[in-house]
Amino acid sequence: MDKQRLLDILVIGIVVVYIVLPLFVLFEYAFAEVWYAYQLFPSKLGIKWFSWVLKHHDTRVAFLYSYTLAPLTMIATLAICIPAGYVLGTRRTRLTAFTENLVNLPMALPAIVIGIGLLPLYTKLGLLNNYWALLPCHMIGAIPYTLRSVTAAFIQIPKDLEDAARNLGATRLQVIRKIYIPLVWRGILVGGIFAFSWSLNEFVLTLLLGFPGVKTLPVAIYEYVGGYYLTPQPAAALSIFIVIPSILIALLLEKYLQISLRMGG
Amino acid sequence: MRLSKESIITFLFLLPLYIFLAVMIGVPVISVFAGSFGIPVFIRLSPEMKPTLEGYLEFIDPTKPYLESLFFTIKISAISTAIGVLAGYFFALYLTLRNPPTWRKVSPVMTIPLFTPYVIGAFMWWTLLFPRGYVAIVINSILMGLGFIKEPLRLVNDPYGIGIVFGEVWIRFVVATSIMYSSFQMVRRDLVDAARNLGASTWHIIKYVYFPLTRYALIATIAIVFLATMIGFSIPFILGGSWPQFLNVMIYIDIVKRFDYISGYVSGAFYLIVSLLLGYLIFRFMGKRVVLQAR
Amino acid sequence: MARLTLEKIKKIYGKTVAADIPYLEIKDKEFFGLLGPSGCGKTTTLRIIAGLTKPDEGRVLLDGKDITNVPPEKRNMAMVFQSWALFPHMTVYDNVAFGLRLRKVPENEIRKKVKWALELLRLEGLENRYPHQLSGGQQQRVAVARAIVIEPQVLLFDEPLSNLDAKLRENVRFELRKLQKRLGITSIYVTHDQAEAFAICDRIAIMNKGKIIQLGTPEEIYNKPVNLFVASFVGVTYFIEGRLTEILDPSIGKVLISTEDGLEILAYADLERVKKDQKVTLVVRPEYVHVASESNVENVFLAKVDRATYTGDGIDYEVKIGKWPIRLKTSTTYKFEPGSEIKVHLDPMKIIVLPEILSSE
Repeated sequence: MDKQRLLDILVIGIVVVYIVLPLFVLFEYAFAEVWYAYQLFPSKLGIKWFSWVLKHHDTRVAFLYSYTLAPLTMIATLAICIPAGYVLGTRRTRLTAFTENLVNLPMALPAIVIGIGLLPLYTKLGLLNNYWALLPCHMIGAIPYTLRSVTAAFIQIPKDLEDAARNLGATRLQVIRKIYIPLVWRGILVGGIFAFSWSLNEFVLTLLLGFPGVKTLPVAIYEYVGGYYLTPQPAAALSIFIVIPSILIALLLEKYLQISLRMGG
Repeated sequence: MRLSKESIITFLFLLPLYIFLAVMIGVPVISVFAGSFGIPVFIRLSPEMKPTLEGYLEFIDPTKPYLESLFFTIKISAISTAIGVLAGYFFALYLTLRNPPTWRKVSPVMTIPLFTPYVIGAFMWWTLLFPRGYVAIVINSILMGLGFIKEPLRLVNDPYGIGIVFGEVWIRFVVATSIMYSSFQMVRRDLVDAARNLGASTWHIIKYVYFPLTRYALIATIAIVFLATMIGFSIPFILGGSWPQFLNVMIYIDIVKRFDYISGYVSGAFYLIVSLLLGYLIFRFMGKRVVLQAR
Repeated sequence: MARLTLEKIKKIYGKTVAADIPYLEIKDKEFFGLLGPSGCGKTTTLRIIAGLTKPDEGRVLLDGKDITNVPPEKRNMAMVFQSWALFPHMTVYDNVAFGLRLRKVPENEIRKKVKWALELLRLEGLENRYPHQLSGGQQQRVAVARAIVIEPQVLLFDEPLSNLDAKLRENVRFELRKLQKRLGITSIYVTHDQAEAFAICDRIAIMNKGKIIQLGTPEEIYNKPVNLFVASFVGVTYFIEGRLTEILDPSIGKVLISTEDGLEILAYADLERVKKDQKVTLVVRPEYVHVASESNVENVFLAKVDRATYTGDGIDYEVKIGKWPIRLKTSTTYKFEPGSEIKVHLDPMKIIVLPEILSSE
């Protein structure tokens, strides 16, 4: 093994360890049944904390909330983004150009500020601690990404396909069904998955407007860590339930849709 | 102006989006700006809410904590951005120049920081940096062993924001690497060959080919990472010390714990202005320039 | 002195042999060509010489010194790329000065050298333009200027004219050759265009599938192709298959070839390579075929005219003798109609006899 390959392995090794370290520690804490303060590594591994965490009614509800809000967010976000994406992807007017830029706004705004801005409205309408009122909150951050993905999918379609189809007698609906959907479903799926992921991970707005009535998993995790961090294990166990699906989604996206979210491939 | 069928469709299809944005973005932004002046929108959240400039006066008062918090936010964001972008830049360069075959098998790990929720990532770094955490142990052993310090350093929930920097860099490094790598990949290989053929060493190639051709991508990356770090909440919330705090954490404390709405809104207004400015710069700079340069 | 030698060079990508050259020597001041179809290994070989690609096996020697492990930036060879590879963010001046600056030549020296190179390539006045502001021809000349200004020991050309339009290409060919002869730098030229290689190079190596098939001057390759591949790659070629039925005069190689449809063709063959009763293929180029005159006695055949194409300076005829299509060109005085029969004469001194048969390809 020559010097250059050795250097490669060293550099890449350091980077990989750096990135994987927090994940490793997460698993360590989640599976640590016995770990005394003086020990470097847990002495006994098991799933005690998983069952502990699932025993609590609160956490089971948090589970439910998280994994129902996520698909709902996905559907609602797509409902808004597909028509908008169609327009943005197939036409170029001043309005569409402006819209594309406008939609990036949520990415520049701090979530907490949006949260406190919504507070008066939600308080007035009695929407605090309300499950359904959280749905639009989860959509805010998802829309820029989802819309971008859907628009990109529509842009790829040459405009003449639609013209040719209309010329041969297809109605607009048929055009959408028979021409666009088979060609854009990947972009839509990716956009939907972004929305799903975003909702799963959403923390600040849920903390501000849903807590304590509606708790999602990230909020529940924070609760375990919020005091003096004496119990990282239950938080770690709970975290696994979000981290694993998130990473699986990322890998699946890549493998089956060949969406390269990483580089070097 | 006659409404063609086309423009009706365009209008209808974009309507839900605009309504959503108006309610979920427009309303909060207005509420925050109004609330910063004490003008209640929709509801008076507390009896003190009446039109006043007190909030702003308090914010810029040097004896009050807000300015310090703002500077702390900017300082820590700048440090995290500098470290994250520099590391990402050179790592992306390394991957482009050496193209190590091992990387292909191992690169899926880069998705981890991108797909880990911020709360969990922050929490994990907490466990790595608290006195019993691995990183804390290694760093403190080295520093004490070399004689630089006598007692172990506090690396998280500390007054210097060290914990926050660790957490932020973990995520931003991956983003910076990602963006710069795709920029470097767009630099034509024959330019690199030509430079080498004419006598350029690897350092020359970086200096005369890669760096100038991806200047705008670097600027965009710095802006994106800085903005994201500035507006991030979970990491400073969990990894920050009791003082100084990030401005958005201060907002949270003001509103949720102290019910001091006006102060919260004023801080929010400042945040809005700074982030909107940065965001505008990014989206003006990015897009066309970045691609043209690398051609 | 810049004599280049390749020894036992091998480069394999997966299952494909990109280059397999047991020995190649390029002489000092020679303008050497690597000619072949795409994927034949000519660019790989050039890159190995430049050091941009490392061979799996073998050595590269410059004036007898082994430079195989010398990195490309230290080899003092300059390459003109197919895409020209001009730095888009630098002016013409900075592009040309690039190599000199890396060699830490003082600025006033650089000014003189760049001026010399730009004048040589007729680029005066364009110093401050950027590549995208230049025409294709100008960009190509800047690429050449950038290469010669550092006074390299070897000049490498990787299909530098393929992005120019045809008319320009023809003119530039002669200019390049003139320039090389004037500067006296050993040069290697890679191309897939046979006419280009013939116009520019002193000697050519024809490559296919990574190997050198034939090495020689343009005349040698054209008139004495070593196999069917080389014959068909260079010039217009038509083949006639037959069997060597009689050796008429062994001392000069005069032989008789008979085809299966009964044609008997006279030719001259290399009796080391072909034997009696062997199946052979004849290479018949249009310039070997003429309208038969009264004085022609041998090799006169009846040909059926299939097609006549007017080319301005004459007429191209596609005819068949027996079942074999061949082509000939005449001046416009002859106007044969398709379907008519004419008498053609095949010059026995020119016909090339090869020991391969077509179907064995």
